[in-house]
Amino acid sequence: MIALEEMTQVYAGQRVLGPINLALEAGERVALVGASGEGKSTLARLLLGLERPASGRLMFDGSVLDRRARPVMRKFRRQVQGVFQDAPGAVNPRHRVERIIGEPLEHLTSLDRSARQARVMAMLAAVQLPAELASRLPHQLSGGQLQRVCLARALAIEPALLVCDEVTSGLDTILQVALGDWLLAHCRQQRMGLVFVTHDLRLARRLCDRLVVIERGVIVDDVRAHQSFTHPAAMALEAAVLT
Amino acid sequence: MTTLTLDALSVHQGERCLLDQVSLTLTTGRVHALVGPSGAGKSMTAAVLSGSPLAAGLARRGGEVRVANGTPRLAHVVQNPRTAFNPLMTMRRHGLETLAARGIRGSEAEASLLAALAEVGLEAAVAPRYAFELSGGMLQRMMLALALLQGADILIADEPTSDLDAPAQQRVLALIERLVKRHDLGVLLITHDLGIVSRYADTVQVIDAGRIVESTTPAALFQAPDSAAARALLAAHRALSDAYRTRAGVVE
Repeated sequence: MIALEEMTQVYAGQRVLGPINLALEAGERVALVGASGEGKSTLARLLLGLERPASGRLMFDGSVLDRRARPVMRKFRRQVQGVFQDAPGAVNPRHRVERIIGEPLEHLTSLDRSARQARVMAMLAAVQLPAELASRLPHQLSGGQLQRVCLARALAIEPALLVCDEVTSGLDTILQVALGDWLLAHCRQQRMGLVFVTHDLRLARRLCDRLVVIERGVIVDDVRAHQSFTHPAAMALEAAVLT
Repeated sequence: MTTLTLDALSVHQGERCLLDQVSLTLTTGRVHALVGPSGAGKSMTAAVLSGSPLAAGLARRGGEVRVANGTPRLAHVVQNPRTAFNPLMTMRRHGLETLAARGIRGSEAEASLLAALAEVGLEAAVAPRYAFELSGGMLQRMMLALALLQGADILIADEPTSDLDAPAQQRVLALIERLVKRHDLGVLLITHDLGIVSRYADTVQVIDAGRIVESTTPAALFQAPDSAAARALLAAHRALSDAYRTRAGVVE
């Protein structure tokens, strides 16, 4: 459904990523794992089309994604959504929750006002937030609640693929498991694909069916979730897991 | 053996009770974990213990800190060390100022600084660096080096590894464990991860909605959790590690 071909990224004259070749099937749940600073988030942003790569191509539905072609980008945005670790930084602090969740519905769908309103309330319920939060401002919510608002916003337009970059890192373990399990159920129910960026292998194995390990900007291991790793960098991550 | 006791600390925000009679005891040479879900009051307890003023509108009742055998020097390690360093000061200057506060200057201070860096596994080349030039794991080590330079014997570690990846987390926790043994440090380890508690803590208290609901050992907590909060934390921990064990095919 989406693929990176020979993609590289360069910051300040230094190659930080690639060349990466990675193809994701529709509905596949893939964890991007690795230590800090190895290029996981850069890869996630490239997948979302948020950065222009130094070289290489982003393939979407069988053709190269042309960022200048508006209808193509509109379709891409409808189908591929992202959620990030820094939830407070991802929302307008002056917008109420209902407006935050409703924004992509306004721009990317043809729903009318009342239909959008209904969808916003349905999404709040789906992420298990009480309806009265709709009229709150971001600073009136806890970190876990705000992250669920961001999820609700991304999922409101029913994307085919959700890219989550360390979405649970700031949450306690109870919320991590609850949010992760909810996400897993949602993926299965909607047949939605997931790219889950994390450095927590426990969560990666719980949620995903494929694990891709990044080290120094390249993919060093790519296994099914029930398989063992083969690369030393991946095994080092595994050795650090506290069970 | 020095012990530090926090006695029945309560914090109110108007009518709302944020901390309700929280008591705990820290002993040098031991790691005491305080666990609980987000918003339970872990960090507020740590902040009061390390002498930080409360935010406006919060009123404190009780919470006398008592000490047996000696005058403990407290050091505080925070979750995000980047905010704990002056961005305009090098690591060397942070170290030397800490030593100067104890009256240690000149060549003795330089030598102490290098020894502390070596002890936390940082190279001498880190000394002329600024916080923005170092990784999260390195900054957390530097925080621990400063605690040593301060001559601390009680360390308040508030989620010291939550922002680190798993290997870096392991290295920092193993370092804390080593410092506990070598310098007879007493540690308050705040976390929500029971994996850390089972591996590193000697004793543990569970806090929920501002109240201590359980005081026990990690082994007993894992065997027979007594409170709803402990059971929820344990269920989350098991959910994560069981998925790991069964799907990874790891044999215990």
